[in-house]
Parts: sequence; structure tokens; C-alpha cells
Amino acid sequence: MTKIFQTIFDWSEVWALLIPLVFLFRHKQPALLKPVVVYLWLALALNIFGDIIGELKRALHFPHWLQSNNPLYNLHSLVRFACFSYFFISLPQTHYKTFKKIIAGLFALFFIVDFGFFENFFYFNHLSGNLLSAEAYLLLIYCMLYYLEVLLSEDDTAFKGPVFWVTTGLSIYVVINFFVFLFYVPMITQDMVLTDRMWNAHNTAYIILCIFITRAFYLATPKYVLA
Amino acid sequence: MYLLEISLESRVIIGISGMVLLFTAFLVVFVVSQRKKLQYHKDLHAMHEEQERILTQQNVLLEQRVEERTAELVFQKNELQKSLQELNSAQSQLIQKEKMASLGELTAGIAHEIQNPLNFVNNFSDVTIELVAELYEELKNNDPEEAMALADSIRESLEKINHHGKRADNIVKGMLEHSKVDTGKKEPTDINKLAAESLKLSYNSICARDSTFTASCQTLFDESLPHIPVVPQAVKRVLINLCNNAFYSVKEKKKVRGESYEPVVSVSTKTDDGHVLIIVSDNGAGIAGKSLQKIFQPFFTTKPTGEGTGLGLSLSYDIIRAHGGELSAESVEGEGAVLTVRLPG
Repeated sequence: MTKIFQTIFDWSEVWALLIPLVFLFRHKQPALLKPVVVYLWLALALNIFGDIIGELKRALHFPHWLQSNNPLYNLHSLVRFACFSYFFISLPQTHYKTFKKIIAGLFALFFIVDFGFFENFFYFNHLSGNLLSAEAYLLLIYCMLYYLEVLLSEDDTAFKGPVFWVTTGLSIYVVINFFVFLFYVPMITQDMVLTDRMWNAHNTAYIILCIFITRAFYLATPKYVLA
Repeated sequence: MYLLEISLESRVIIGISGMVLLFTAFLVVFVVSQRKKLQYHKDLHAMHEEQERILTQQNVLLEQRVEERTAELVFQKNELQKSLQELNSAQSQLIQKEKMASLGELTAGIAHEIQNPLNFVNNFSDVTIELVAELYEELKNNDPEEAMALADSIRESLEKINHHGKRADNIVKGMLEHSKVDTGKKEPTDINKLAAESLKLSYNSICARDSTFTASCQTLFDESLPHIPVVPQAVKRVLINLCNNAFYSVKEKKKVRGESYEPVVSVSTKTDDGHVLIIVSDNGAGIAGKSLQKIFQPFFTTKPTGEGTGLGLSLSYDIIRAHGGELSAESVEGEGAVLTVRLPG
């Protein structure tokens, strides 16, 4: 029974994405949330591939180059940062516009330096904890900047809008996963069981992110003001 | 290739440091921004207070100005009222003066009228006294025929005295009739008679003041004129006024033209479309075009200062209007003027 639950939980990166995506069929989203929608579709594709490789690589006897899904996680990280970075930069906010662009630039610089000198993007043994940690940290900065602007704007409606729910879901996800990604690689060698449990924390955070995005989609109707 | 090896301890330090740094930066930025916001609100509040203070100050100033202006307007109003009262008083005095002038002219005319029969009475009474003395002489001389002839002469003289006495009596009665208080009651009036009397009184009046003045007085009355309801004293005052003006005009022209000029003032009456017209015309100096438009305005006069109040024609106009009639003037400067009174029949 526990194994069934664990399997379902392992596949949460796929089915959790279906919650907001199913909702999309009934509610067309405003342009502001388009980067989030794009991310969901790309994430779904990547996670399906990733989970198939991860769960079925031995059973289906995949070739050598399909024995690891770690490069897909690296790619997922890039896609996630690109989509949410575009999302935050596109927000109709007046402050920190340049700073947001600098953050995107910093991530690009980090990616080039890290994979140019220190890491291999297609490394099979484990995902790039540095990349994912940096991505989570920078996304958290985006979220903080959003909250800061909302707090200073005295706009009470901002806390009821869809952008707030997307940002909050992402904040929860990146705060938890910053540490998960940061400690993931060294933990693999030291305690595999703990590493698996840590990944459960990642999956839980991911489900929360998807639920919050669904809530944002629900609110993104003309009667709600976007923030 | 995996070159970047960071120990778990280092990662813990990096992770915690990163988070602390991030949240500290967040808090610092938030606090600084809040302080700026508070300062901005404080400045805004101060600005609002300053604006309110200025507004209150301006309100006080405005109220003060309004009060000052109101006081000024009240003062001006009082001054205007005072001026109006003075004007009304002056107007009343002028009207009274005009009335007195009219009365004076009327009195002069009446006096001239009475003087004539009185002369007769005095002359015939002197003659009668002489005749009575002669009668005594003849009676002493026992001459009855001569005495009878003298007695006849005395009777004729007494008859003449009686005749002229009655004439004077009629004049006085007429004067009393015209000096009745103006009750404003209309009564059927013979306009021809009223016009003739007015012309005569006016002429006598001017002759009494200037014995050298002579003018030809012409009348052309419509004998079929009906008696119409008017206030006779009022209409007579109007006609006397019109005749006075006509005589004044011809007199002034006479002064300029001399003997070659023969002054003529005429009064005529006629009916026109159910109305009675009384036309007073003269061959005097006439009225200039500009003056013609103003002659019925109160206090407008072409006469030298002291000779006219400028109320005669204005009052006449009002009287005729009060009768439902019209008073109009036509003139050719230098050739004379025609004043027409149009009264409803």
C-alpha cells in the first residue's frame, strides 16, 4: 500500500501539473499569465519524459543515453527560470524593473560559468544541484521583489489577485527546494534514504505550487484585478 | 565533468547565509521604503495643513473683503437714497415753482381782463357824479327839460356802469370757476370756449408784462365740436402753457426781426376719427430738431436760465396722457411750431 502511495507520489510531478492544465480547458487566461501556462505545458512534457525514464528505464531497457533523467531536470530548471523570469518582468509594476533584468542576466552568467567550467549539463549521475539552487534563490528574489512592491503600493486588491497566488505558490516551492537542491548532491553519497525523503518534500512543494497556480487561474477572471 | 565539489557543511552555511541575506535585504529595503513613505505622508500632511491654513486665511480675508464691500455698498445705497430724496424734493419744489409761475401768468391775465371793465366803471361813475351835480344845478334853476335830459344821461351812465360791473363780475366768477380745487373729476367741456379763454388769458398775461408787445391772435374753431369729458382746469392749464410758449417764441423772433415781422399765434379745433384736436401754432422761432425730441422731458428747456423750469410741457404731456390723449409737436426751425393736443371724444 505504501509502495502504491510512493509510486503515485513519485509521479506527482506529472499529475500535479494536470490540475491547472485541466482547468485551462474551461478558463482562458489573460496575457499576464501566459508565461505560466507555457511553463506548465513544457514542464508536463519534460516531467513525463523524466518520470518515464526514471521509473521505467530498467523495465523497458532504454538505451544507454536514456538511462538518466538528470539532464531533463537541468533543462526543466532553465525553462522554469526563463518562464517565471519573463512572468515577473512582464508584471505591470513600476519599481525594480532593471533589477529584475539584472537577475535574469546573473542567472545566464551563472549558467555559462557553471556549465562552461565546473559542471557538465548532461552529467548522468545526478542533477545539477548548483544550477537548481541558484535558480531557486533567484526566483525567490523575484518573489521578494513582488511582495515588496505590493507592500509599498498600498494596493489591498493585490493580495486577492492571481499574480499573488502564483508568486506565493512559487515562493513556497523555491524556499523549500532551495535547500533540497543545495543539499541533494552531497546527500546522495551520504544517505540515500534521506535523499529520497528530501525528494518527497520537493514533490509536496511542487503539488502546492500547482494548486496555487490553479487558484490563480480560477481568480483570473475579469471580476478580479490583476496585480 | 564534475569539478565543483562543495561539502555539505559549506552548503549549509551557503544556504543559511543566502536566506538570511535575502530576508535581511528584504527587511532593510522594506523598512527604508516604509520610512520614505512615512516621510512622504508626513510631508503631504504638512502640505495639506499648510494649504488648509492658507485657505482659512484666504477665507477670512475674503469674508473681510465681502464685509468691507457690503459696508461700502450700504453706504452708497444710503447716499443714493439721500440723493433721490433730495432730487424728489427739488422736483417737488420745481413743480411748485412752475405752478406758481402759471398762477402768476393767470393772475396777470385776469387782472388785465378786470382792469378794462373797472376803467369803464370808474370813468362812468366819474361822469355820473358830474351829471348828478349838473342835475342839482338845473333843478335849482327850475329847468325841468334840461333836468330830464341829465337824468336820462345819468341812467345811461349807470346802465353802462352796471354792464361793466356785471362784466367784471363774470370775469371774477370765471376766475373763481377756474380757481376751483382740481378734483380730477371730468365733466363735459366746451373745448372751443376753453381754448379761446386760454388764448386770451395767455395774451393778456404777456401784454401785462410787456405793454409794447402785440401779436395777431387767430382762432379757427369747429363749431360742431362736441363737449367732451375732461378736467377743464387741467386742460386749460395745458392750453395756457402751449399759448405762453407760442407767444414767447414769436416775441423772441420779433426781437430779432423787428417791425418787418408780424407775430401770429393761432388756435384751432377740429374732430378727427372720433378725437378732438386742439392745434396751437405760431410763426415764431420754431424748435431745433434735437430739441424737438426732448421738449416733453422734465426739466428740458430752451429758455435762458431763470425764465423757464422745463416742466411746463412735461406736465402738459402728463396731463394729456392722463386724459388718454396725446400731445405732439412739429416744427420747422425758424418758421414756427405746431403743438397738437389730441383728446378722445
